[in-house]
Amino acid sequence: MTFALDNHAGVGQNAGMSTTLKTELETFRREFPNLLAEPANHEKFVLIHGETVAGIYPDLKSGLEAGLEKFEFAPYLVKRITAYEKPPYFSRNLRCPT
Amino acid sequence: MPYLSGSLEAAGAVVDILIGVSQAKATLLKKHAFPVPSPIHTRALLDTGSFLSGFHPRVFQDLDLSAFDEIEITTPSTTGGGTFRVERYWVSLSLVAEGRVCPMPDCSVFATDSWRPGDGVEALIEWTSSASVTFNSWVRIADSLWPSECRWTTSPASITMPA
Repeated sequence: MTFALDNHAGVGQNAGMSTTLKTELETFRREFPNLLAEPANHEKFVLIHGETVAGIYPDLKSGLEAGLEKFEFAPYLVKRITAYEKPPYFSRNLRCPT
Repeated sequence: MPYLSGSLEAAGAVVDILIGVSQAKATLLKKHAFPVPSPIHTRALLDTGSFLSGFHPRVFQDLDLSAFDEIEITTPSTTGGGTFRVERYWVSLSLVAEGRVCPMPDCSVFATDSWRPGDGVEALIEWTSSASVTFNSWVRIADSLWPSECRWTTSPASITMPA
């Protein structure tokens, strides 16, 4: 089985772009092995605020709604917990930030 | 089955779209007595070859929306396993034709500035279902994307709503 960790740093042709979710993505990266180790979490969605895992939700919509309810206007991350997520295809080229 | 009809333009199958904050975000704004940003009108290209929808970054700035995720995507120019990272947003979308508005379920889209001036298009709507396509007369829209109560029947674009 191939495990593809969503590794924020150094992945993607535009890696290093500024993000408002830097802390949350680092938390996800840190917690990902633990989240994936629990089979009940597979294909569910994790809600992360700052350095805290705030919950696991069955679908994206419920994770987003929980994020709004708990953190209101503060940044939060909702991300699928999956061993491998194939990058979706977008049919136009993106500009690579310089 | 919902229907969309329209004329093909130089840019392709282009539709008028309203993009706004999600229903949940609107509820939160109202709870705090904050104004809910009016939906922004833009023109979007329907694309059978894309697996996600992209909008010009200005719409997210104008709506004061924050990203909820970053994902990697591939494009025609990515090779050798390369990807781009993009920010995802949760929004409301509605089709507009002849003054009628056909709301779609809230969904995730991403920000991209890949639009060329003069195209008249600032968004691309994905179309990933198995819906059949006959571009020369009408376009049938995915059940999963458009609510069944919206039926587009004539060309150029119009909406017929059930009683």
